[in-house]
Formats: sequence, C-alpha cells, structure tokens
Amino acid sequence: MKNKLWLFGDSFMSYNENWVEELARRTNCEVAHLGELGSSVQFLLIDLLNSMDRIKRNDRVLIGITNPARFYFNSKHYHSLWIEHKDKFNLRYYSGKKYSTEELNCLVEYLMHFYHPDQDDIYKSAIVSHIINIIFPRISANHKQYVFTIKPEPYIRERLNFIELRDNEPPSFMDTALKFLEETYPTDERVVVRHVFDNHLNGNNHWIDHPDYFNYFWKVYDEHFARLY
Amino acid sequence: MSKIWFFGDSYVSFKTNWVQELANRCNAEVAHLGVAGSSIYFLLLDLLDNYNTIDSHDKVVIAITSDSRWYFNKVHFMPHKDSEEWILNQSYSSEDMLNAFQYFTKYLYNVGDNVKFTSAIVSFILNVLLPKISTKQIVYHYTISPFPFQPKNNDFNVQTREYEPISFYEFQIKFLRKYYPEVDNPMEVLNRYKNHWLEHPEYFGEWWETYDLLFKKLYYEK
Repeated sequence: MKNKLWLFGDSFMSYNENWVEELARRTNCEVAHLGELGSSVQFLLIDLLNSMDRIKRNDRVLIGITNPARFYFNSKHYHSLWIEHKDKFNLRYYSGKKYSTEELNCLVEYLMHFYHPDQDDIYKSAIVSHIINIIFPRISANHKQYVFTIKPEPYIRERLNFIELRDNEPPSFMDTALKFLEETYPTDERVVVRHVFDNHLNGNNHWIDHPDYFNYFWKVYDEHFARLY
Repeated sequence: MSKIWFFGDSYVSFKTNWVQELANRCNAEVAHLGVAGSSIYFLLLDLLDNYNTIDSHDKVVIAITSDSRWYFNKVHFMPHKDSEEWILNQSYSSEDMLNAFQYFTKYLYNVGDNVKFTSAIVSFILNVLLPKISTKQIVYHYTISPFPFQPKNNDFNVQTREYEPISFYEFQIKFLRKYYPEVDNPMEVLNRYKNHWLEHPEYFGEWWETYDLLFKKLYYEK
C-alpha cells in the first residue's frame, strides 16, 4: 500500500494533475488530500487541525501558504477581490457555488465597514506564524515542506518581522509562474494580476499550458521538494 | 523606577485596586492599561504597537480575554444583545457598523472556527511575540476562561501551564456564590466596578491568596 501525499493550500494545489500528479509520482505516494480553490490561511489552519490525526510518519505533507486577503467565514471561502465595488460581485467566482444573497451582502458590509488590510494582514500573519512555528514541526510525517503560493511579502513587512524566510526559501508558485511568463512572453502586457490569471494562469493548479513549463517548474522546485522524496 | 505594562480587557483597564496593588508590590509605575471590551485581535495589535518600547527592567501583565470579541476599524465588538449601546457609544462607531456587525454574527461568524483563529493568535502571542519582549518578567492569565484556547485532545493550540489558577471571572463566580448566593446575573454585578473588582471585605485577601503564586515572579525576581 502506498504512502499518502497530503497537500494543504489554495488553488495552486487543488487538482491531482500536472505538478501535483508529478509530485505524487516522484514521492511514490497516492494523493490523499488537496487544497481548495479560493481558500485562505484561516481555512488552512482549520484544514490542518482537522487532518493532523490522520497523517502518518511515512506520509508526505506539502503546505501552501496563500495570500492574506481572503477569508473563511462559516464554512465558506471568500476573497476581497471577488467584489469589485459595492453591489458589484465578480459573479464568475460565485457561479455554481452555494452563497446566499444574505451572505454576499454581508461580505460587502464586512469589506465596507470592517476590513482593514493592514490589520487583517497582522491577524493572518499571526495565524501563519502559528502554522509555521507550532503546527508544522508537530506534523507527524517525517517528510514535509511548506511553500508560499503567492508572494510572502504581506507577512514579512515592517512590524511583522515574526515570520523569517528560510535561507533557501522556495520562490512562491505565483512568482515562478510570473517569471516564466516574463521570460517567455517578454512583450506581453502583464500589468494587472487579474489579466495574468485570465490569460495564462486559468488552468487547473494555475498551471501554464506551455511545453516548456514542466521543466521550468521542476528545475525551480526539485531541490525544495526533494525532502519529500 | 521600573514600569509595569498591563495589556488586555476590562480586568486591567483602571489604575486602581489590584492593578495598583500589583504595581506597588513591584515598585513600578503603571505605564499602560487594557481596554474594556477589547478582544484578542486588539490585544495583538496593542502588543505590536508597544512591545519594542518595553524596557528589560519593566514588568508585563497580559490579560487574555474571551475568544468571541472583535476589533474592526477602531471599534470593539462583542456579540451580546445588551452590548449594542456600548458599541454605539464608542468614538468611531456608527449605526451602519452596528448593523454590519449584526449581519456578520448572523451569517459569517462561526463559533468553532473563531476559537481556532483566536487560539492561533494567542499561541502566536505566547510563543513568538512574548520571547521578543526585552523583559523576562512577564505574566499572562486568562480573564474569562482558558478552555476555548486549550481544547482537549488538541496539543496544537495553547499549552496548559504547570500552574494554572482559575480565570479572574471564574474566581469571581466562585466568590459570588459563596458571599452573594442570591445573585442571578454575575456580569451585571461585576460591570459596576472598575477592573470588575468586587467591594467586599474578604475579596482582597481571597484574590491575592489565589493569584499571589502567579504574580510573585514580578515582585521577587530582579
């Protein structure tokens, strides 16, 4: 029976395809758990706490730490970018999902009256610090790693110097994808993040559909994921 | 003269009774106080604003409050019906914010999840932030209850200490049952007093008997 590969995180690791499938092959594990689309570090905390007891010593664990501007409210994922302005939801994020009108209106009210990005970053940094410093070392798997899926900067700016990047910190998945796009499409317009997502990162796990991306990705992450092999 | 810093909620929000007594025992002047009705979220921000200015000879008391409180845009919130007026009376508050909070508690708030979020923040404060404060003379204690932060069968949250006296609120409930068995609503009684300090001839003695061991490192250690 194969050992298990547990992935916790967001949309960069929510399908057993492309790099996730390859990681399972390289670790000779079966994928037992995946991240969730649009999820937050609040959800990551809860997902880890709910799963800890089932992780075995020989399993592999990879944690993806997402951006702070997301929320987990009452068992549902929300994102500050999913609302463009008051009364205007970015409906593509909500189509097919079970959000009631009341919940969406509440989110608008929350963002209008309560959301303070700097303060929220601090709260989320404390959660990430707890995950890295307390939970991660206590995961019973011998082979484990964590990586930032989107830029770690919101967690490590001035006043929040409690999360120390490691000497050989893996680049975030987002940074790797953007760097690949810069090198591959040097004249393309990539000013707005959403534009990049729409045009290049809309595949499962935000995998870039380009023949060179597989090798590019593994050249970056092979050394960082080696501890999972 | 060294300073004593109090961080937390209404139990440490006035420079009087046990707060002043502790300062006297420590031969320190009170440099900072908690804020009534404040939350774990506010505690984190307040500590981050001040921890760099705490001197190595200073003393610090951290009063850890209930998990079910919030701090949004300079306003403190708690989800009790009778706290609406108190919320509206805060400087930066408004009817719109109160309405938004009512929606928040109805549709977005989940008790169990919020306990996990605030436990992670308490864990961060105790395990990561406190060691960065230059003084080692730091005492923390729970004002309402430690149990939400220390769930059974879950060693990933806040660790239980070897010596864990009952919370301030639990002490008061015990005291009220003993001396005022007729009281139905303890908070209504406790809210009349600064730092919720009960005016009763036995209170001072029983309080210090309960907490002397917890706080004595602040006045005996140099």
